[in-house]
Amino acid sequence: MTQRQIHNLDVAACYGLLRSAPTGLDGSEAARRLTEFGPNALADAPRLHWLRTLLKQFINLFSVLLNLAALLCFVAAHLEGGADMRVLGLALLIVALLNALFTFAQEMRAERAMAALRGLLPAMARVVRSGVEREVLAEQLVPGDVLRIGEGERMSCDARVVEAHDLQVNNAPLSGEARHLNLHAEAVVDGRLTDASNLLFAGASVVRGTGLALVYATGQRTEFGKIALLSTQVQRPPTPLEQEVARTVRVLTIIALTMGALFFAYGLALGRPLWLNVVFMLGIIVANVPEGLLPTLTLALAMGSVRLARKNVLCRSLNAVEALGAVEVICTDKTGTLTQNRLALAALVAPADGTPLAVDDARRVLEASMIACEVRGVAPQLSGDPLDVAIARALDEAGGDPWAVSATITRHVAFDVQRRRAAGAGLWQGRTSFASKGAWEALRSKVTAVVEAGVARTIDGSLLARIDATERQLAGSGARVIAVAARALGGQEADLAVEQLECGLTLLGFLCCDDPLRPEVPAALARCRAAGIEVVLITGDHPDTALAIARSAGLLDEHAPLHAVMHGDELEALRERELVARLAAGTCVFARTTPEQKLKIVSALKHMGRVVAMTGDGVNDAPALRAADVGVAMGLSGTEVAREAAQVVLLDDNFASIVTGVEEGRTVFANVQKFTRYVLASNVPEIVPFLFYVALPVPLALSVLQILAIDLGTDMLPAIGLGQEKPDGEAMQRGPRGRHQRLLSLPLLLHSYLVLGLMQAAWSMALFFLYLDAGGWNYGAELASDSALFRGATTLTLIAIVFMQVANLIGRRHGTDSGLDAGLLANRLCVAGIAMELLFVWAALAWPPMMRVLHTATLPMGWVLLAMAGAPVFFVADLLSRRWWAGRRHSG
Amino acid sequence: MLVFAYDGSLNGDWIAHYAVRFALATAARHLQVLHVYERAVASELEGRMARIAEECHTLGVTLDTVVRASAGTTVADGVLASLRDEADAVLITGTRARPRNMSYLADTVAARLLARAPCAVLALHVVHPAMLGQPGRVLLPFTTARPLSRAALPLLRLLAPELRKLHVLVIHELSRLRFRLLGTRRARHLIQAALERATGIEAQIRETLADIDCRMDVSAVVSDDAGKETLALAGRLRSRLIALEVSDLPERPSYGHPVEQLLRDSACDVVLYRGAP
Repeated sequence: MTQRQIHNLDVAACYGLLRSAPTGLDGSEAARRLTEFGPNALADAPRLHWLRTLLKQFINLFSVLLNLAALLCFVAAHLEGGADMRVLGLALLIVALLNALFTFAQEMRAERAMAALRGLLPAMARVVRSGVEREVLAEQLVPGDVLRIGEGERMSCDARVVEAHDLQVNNAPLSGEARHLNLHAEAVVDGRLTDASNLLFAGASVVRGTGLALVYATGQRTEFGKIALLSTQVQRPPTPLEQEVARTVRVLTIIALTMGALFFAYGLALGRPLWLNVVFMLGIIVANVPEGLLPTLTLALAMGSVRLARKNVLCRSLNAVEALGAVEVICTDKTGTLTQNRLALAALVAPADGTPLAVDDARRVLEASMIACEVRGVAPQLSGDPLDVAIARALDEAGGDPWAVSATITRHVAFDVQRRRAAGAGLWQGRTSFASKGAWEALRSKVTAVVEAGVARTIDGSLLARIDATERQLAGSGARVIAVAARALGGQEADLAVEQLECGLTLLGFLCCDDPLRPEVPAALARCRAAGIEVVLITGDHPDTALAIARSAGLLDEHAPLHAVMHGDELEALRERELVARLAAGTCVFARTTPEQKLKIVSALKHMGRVVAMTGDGVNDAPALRAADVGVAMGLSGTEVAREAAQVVLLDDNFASIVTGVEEGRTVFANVQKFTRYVLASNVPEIVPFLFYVALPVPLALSVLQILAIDLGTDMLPAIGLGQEKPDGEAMQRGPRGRHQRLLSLPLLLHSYLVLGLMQAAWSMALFFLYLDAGGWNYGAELASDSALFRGATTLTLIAIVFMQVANLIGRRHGTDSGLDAGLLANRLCVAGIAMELLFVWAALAWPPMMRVLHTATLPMGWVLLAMAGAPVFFVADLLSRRWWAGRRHSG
Repeated sequence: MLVFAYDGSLNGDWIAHYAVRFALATAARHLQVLHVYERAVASELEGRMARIAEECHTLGVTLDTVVRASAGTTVADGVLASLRDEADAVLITGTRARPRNMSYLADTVAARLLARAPCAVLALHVVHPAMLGQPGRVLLPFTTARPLSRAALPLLRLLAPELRKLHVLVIHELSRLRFRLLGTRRARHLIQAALERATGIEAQIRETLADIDCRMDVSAVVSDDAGKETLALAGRLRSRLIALEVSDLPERPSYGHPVEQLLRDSACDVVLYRGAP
């Protein structure tokens, strides 16, 4: 069945279809259509959308728990009195609020992506209505309107060209191709609608010429509107860290709530007063929930993102810092990312035999190709298509005069993605000539002769085969091969259609263009290999060029199988599971691909369970950037929309920077595990006093405020310090941790709770009872909460835990080493953390305001030294236990 | 018989392209355009009908037009009255071109016809007018709770001449809480089961529509929001049409109704279909 879409219809049929005419719609019909189809604008987010997003942050498990606990505190304070409970409630509320606000700010980024898209559309448009041209708000355009378009204008809707005068547009927002496209009003026989050369799309800008266009789609119905919808609609999947943090919070919350409920029930069964039970339940919950964990995590990520920014990797979302570390596959562009995006002519080659052209012949070929170029400016500041600029420079260096050739150009046909060639007419060799330059596949059917040894020879089968072989050989060496063909024009021919001019051409030569590989790329790819990260190259280039680049970068070796490279056409035809199979079998280079196919590759990789990073720069890359686990936009060459859709922006467009980001991300995850272990360790000595208090007739060794002083006070800075540990050199020697490695693994929980936590609990509780015993307390006797003995005993418990946390901090810096060998002073935040912990101990013992708040007391030096002795004991025991575990793992 | 309920609007013209193409896929190659008016026939109706007739003529579809008054009732009732004895007919209608009171369907003729017509109904929502009813790439979503029904196959037959790529999506839908608590292993198991179901549907379609020359693919997901998954996949595949079965759609679907959400957020055309009761 023949497809007949709007680009396949002639102008009259288009007017009929849209019930319009060259004089445009009349005012009343335009108003009616505005009512029927709505304004020509991208949809706004629903009203109060931000409020919904904000409220959502308060209904996650962690927030609910903290808010509930805060509420109970306030109720308790109201019924029973006492400032302690009120302070506790406030502290819990602040923690919940900070976390909610931070997540809210992250989620609102999607709105900014939409705003960036809106910024690409103009506010006004010139429209013909009832035969009169007028300027209207772009929002008021309706299907059937006739638009007047001219140079420098930007489209705000999709329209069919009905009249064109040398009309040239840049469709980059839609196609991703920055090249200019010539438009005409004639019907197009075949090709996709989005590639049609008689359609204008919203976001496109008119580079040259004037014309009239018939609006057929407005607002969300435009292709641009669909990209906008997709860019905001494609949900960014939660990063591995987000998933893990959510799971960790869930696990810890369940533990906290279960223990709280159990001891509440037990207390009731023992006949304790209700409110006392509530307070103890809260204590157990507060002791179990590591309140400082999320703020510490946030800070660790923020500081990681600062470090990355110094290395040209800008993280637009904090979680992206860690997500980079989990990446298993990097899908990368070629131009500008692996290569330097500096196109230079490396050689001019005779098509028939592949030999370099002599100087004079080379100059003649360059002069012919210059006719098909469009370059502005004065050397060395030339502007235009990179290839055109490279040709002009080469001609200049070869002793020719590119400006003299340019001055003779009477007609220029810009590069067309579909035609894959550019052309022009001008003076060459003293005669008006037509010249075309582009991909050999595109010119192959247009040439009838080839210049061989300075003589034009008619092409026959064997000569064509030789030319094909030359082109394949050149492309296989990694060069971008441009064929140059020309013919002299007769007197009347200059005004003919391009299709009529493009026949009987003589092939003059092949231009071999080089876009040199970035020098740091092979080493970066080697690091990826060592780190178990796969790299997938996705490019619009010829498969041979892509293969050559992949080889020179070290992505593929000389013996790489043929199936390692896939053509975009083949990719288009594959089912997803077939693509999965091909990826699993080692296909890692995709050539001649379109930006839309990136999404297909990401999707297949994600179905394989891989964590994917995807690079992109165009507006139409935005959906793929959002769909990837880590979208990486190019800071230099990327569009604003791509940058908004991505989580990471490479400030130097350099592949090596991604690898640096991966290393930093891996370090961040390792550091998160370090401080999670550190923070969880102090939970046990915080819980045990409550367990003792509920189970046995003994005083409570630690108050809720003292617990909070540890969790939100002394533990915070050291934990942040652990978050700043530098890469240990092994980060890129291990395989990726993958999506399924747990942040809160069972070994981590067992080690934190049963080894580190129990040691701290044993020492601190032993000191508590020792102090009570020394003070004359008898087992089972009640103690007043303001008695000196009680305050002294709780103070001793508190400072013993803090001292042991100092040792814990040093131990956590390395998996099996002591933590001192890395140099204690190397991490200034850890040093500051230790100083703060010691300062806290002093304040708890000697600074009256702190003593009043925490209900602590001054202790004799002997007891303080005894508490301090816990630190070396803990440190040695911890080190021995880690080495024992490491030995077991190693032998296992 | 294929009946197109035409309202004379530009949106109606866009839907007419689909109707003509659907008629082309039937053995009879016949289309009836039914226009029910409330007060008086619009003066431009004749010209508009002529344009549809021209398209039918070009494609070799015979056309008959029926213009009748709603006779004091609503337009929907007028259409239903015309179809009283036409249980075998397929009625083609359209949603609003833009939402009114934030709804594309509530209180529309399409919603009433989907709820009450005695025959099969197709309601089209055209987002991409330039395609002129030839979507080419179609996404057919199902949920595990509501797999392939007998209504889908006739629709695919109507789409067959234009089909170039058909993608079957099976969504295992879970409640939000269950989805949040879903473990990796269980999710993988559910996806595998849904994928098998999708493959089964694909085989069934291939068997029934052996003469369709189009590429097919399947995928499966587990989700707490079938609409979002459908839209996301349609975006990824650059589908031009989503074909969604709506067998129990209320006449006034709420703002949050999954079908309303899908229509609101769709970046491609949507056809809502329902078999004969």
